[in-house]
Amino acid sequence: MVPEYIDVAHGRQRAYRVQLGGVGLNSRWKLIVRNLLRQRSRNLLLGGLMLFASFVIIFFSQFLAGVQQNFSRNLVAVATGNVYIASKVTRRIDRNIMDRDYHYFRFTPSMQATLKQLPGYAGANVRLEFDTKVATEIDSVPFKAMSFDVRSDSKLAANLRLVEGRMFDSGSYEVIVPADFARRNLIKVGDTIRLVARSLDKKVNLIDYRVTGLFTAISLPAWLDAYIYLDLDVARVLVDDPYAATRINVHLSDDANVERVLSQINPYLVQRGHPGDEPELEAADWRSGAQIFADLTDALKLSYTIVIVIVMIMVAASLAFTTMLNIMERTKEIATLAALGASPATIRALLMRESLVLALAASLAGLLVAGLLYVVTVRYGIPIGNRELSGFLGSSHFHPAFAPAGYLAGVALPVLTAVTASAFFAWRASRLPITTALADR
Amino acid sequence: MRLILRNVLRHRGRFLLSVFVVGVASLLLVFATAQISGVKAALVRGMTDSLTGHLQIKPKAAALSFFDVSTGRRLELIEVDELSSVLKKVRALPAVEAASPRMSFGAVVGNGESSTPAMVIAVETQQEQHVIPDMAEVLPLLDTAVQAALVSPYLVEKSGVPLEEEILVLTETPSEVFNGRPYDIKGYARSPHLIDEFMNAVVFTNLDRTRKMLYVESVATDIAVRVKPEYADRLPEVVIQVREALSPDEREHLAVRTYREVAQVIDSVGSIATGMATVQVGVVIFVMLIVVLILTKLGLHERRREIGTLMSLGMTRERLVRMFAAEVVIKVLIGYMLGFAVAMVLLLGIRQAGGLKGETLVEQYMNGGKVLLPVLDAYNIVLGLLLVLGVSLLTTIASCWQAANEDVVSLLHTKE
Repeated sequence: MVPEYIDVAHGRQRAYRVQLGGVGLNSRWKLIVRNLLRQRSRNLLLGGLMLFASFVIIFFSQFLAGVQQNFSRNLVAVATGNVYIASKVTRRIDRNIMDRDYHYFRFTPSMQATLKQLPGYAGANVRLEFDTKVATEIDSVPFKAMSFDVRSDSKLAANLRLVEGRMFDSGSYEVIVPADFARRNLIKVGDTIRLVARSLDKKVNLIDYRVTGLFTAISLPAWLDAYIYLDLDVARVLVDDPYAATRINVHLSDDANVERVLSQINPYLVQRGHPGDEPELEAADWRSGAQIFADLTDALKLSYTIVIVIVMIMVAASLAFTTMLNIMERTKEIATLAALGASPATIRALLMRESLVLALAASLAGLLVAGLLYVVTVRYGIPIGNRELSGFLGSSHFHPAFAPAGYLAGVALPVLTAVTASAFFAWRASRLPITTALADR
Repeated sequence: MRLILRNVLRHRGRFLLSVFVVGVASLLLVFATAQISGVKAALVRGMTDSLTGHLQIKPKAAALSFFDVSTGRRLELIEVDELSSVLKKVRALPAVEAASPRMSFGAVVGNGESSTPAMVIAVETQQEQHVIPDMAEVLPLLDTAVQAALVSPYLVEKSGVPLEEEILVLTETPSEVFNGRPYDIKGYARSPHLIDEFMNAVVFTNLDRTRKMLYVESVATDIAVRVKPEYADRLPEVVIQVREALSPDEREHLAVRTYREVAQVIDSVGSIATGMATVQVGVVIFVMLIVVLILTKLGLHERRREIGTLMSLGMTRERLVRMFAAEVVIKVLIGYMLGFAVAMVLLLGIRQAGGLKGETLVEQYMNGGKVLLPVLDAYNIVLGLLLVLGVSLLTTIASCWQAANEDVVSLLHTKE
């Protein structure tokens, strides 16, 4: 049979066994739980406060990670690759990869072979983008077009959500058109539009294309909704060169290889020079032209940090105060334990463990709530109706991203705050003279 | 009242903590509301003073959005007679400060080698200076030469054509032929307030020369109207006045719209700022409420015997609840006042320093423009106070009622 006692002193100290008639407590953890339940409503509120703080930390960090993912992982996956090769940036304005001029060059078989030798090479997607005049039955409008290989560039294809019609077929004279552009220019699926563009040898060509679909970009809509898309091969017919390209997105198996790849490919591009009228080329890290994304995430991080700091100051202040009141209320109880032989360290540990258990339980509950919300939102996404906001967050459907550091902080910060706040008052309580504490004043 | 004050001050630490927590939340609330109002004001000011004016009169068949300009081929025009008649009537209205005819259309601008899509706004400089006062300094430059143009810094950099050099403007005309004219870049189309991105594609030109380029005479695509300052907050009323001033035929053909209708981007960007600030303030207010609730519950638990004594001396439950509620109100009021005072100091400091400057595009979007001057109005101050007070009372009143409803004997019982 389990003896009915509470072991309040242990280790090297003399073990006193305090009989607590009929209570049935046999461990310090049960005592902690009993103490926590004794002030149920107060501790529920405190727990709720820490749960909310933990939830806010985790949810916001997932939100930030989602924004960063849109501007980094999706940028790499659908827009630039880990490294991209394009005409050399010579003007300040061209530093923004979303809004720069890309000049034609020829992506020859020898260049392809060179890329395949790069460390960690996982593939290359060729993009050909150009200014065009879109001639419809009623108007001709300046716009931009981008072509890609729909068979190999599957991530870009998947990122263009068709709101009507279908994707263009490979090798067919077909295009898909941004839904907003189509609305403004009365373009419908099935219409034929004429694209006018300048060829590599500076002639003007025009070809008729059938509109097979209207789309909106899922990620990076502010950038990718500004193009009409068509197949790479038929775009090369329009610009009159079978090797024409404006950007090569090189995908690597590991982003850590970027520096090595750049140090190999750039000397090759310098050595290549600029044959004929082709521009000088350079390979760049995907981050190099994404300053706007860095600015945006920095601004979001700053406002997130301010909120978290304010919340944690308020939580810490109320925790400290409540712990102090809790301990003051239990002065006699603490003195009784001390009179029965509990050392100051034991009393401190007991009080701090109570805070620890409460904070840990609340933080884990906060983590659970944030985790559940993550599972739901990451699966279905949060539709963003506001066009500016979707451009801002980099996606028409916002998906948070898993942020391990956020989960860690969400548990650690409330726990650390609770333990730190309780440590001081527990230390003071444990050093109170027994006679003073027991005096019936 | 004396009893309430004594109770409030009896536990100084608790009182200070309540005041601190409410103060921090109120500081953030006041700051955020001032910032939201400032962002909206900056957006409105930037847009109306630099691009749209307060009202836009244009054919109903034309695109709703100010930024959806048609190419010259599809231009919906206000014809000669109608234009002069409408201008005369609109300018005669007491609410109207200025009305300026424009030709706004899509074109491409470039250096002959490469070109970029742009929105050309051809204006009469004398009237236009009053419609978009932020551009008043540079608009007279259009009068220095027939072929003068003001081009956004973005287009200048994009085209590679420096100031005083010629930039080529190419467009289709309503008669369905292409035409192009060189223009001398006499200055930048740059607003001191508006977010740069909204002006990136803009070129201002002289109305007469541009009409010649389009092979049209004395017509306009739209009329931009500025109202007098006292009418700026009563635009729907002015819209009705303008509509009533037009003849039935003119009303049939033309739409009169406010800047908000033609530049819906103002509401989109404004709602981003509002949304972000609401989330931040909401989180902090929620935390504040839990803390106030905890502190109230602690206080009531400690004062069980006091409550019992007061009840045994004949104090009714209603009076007790009123007393507790008054204590909460006093703490929240003091906290709010302190938070408000600190926020005021910060906001005045920001205004004294000339506002928050937006250098990068992200900063400009977050500020609603290049300069954010926080705006604090009485409505927001009162609303903030009522919010903090009301929600604090709502959350604590149940605890107070519960405490007042306990049995006197059990309240006075000495056993813990």
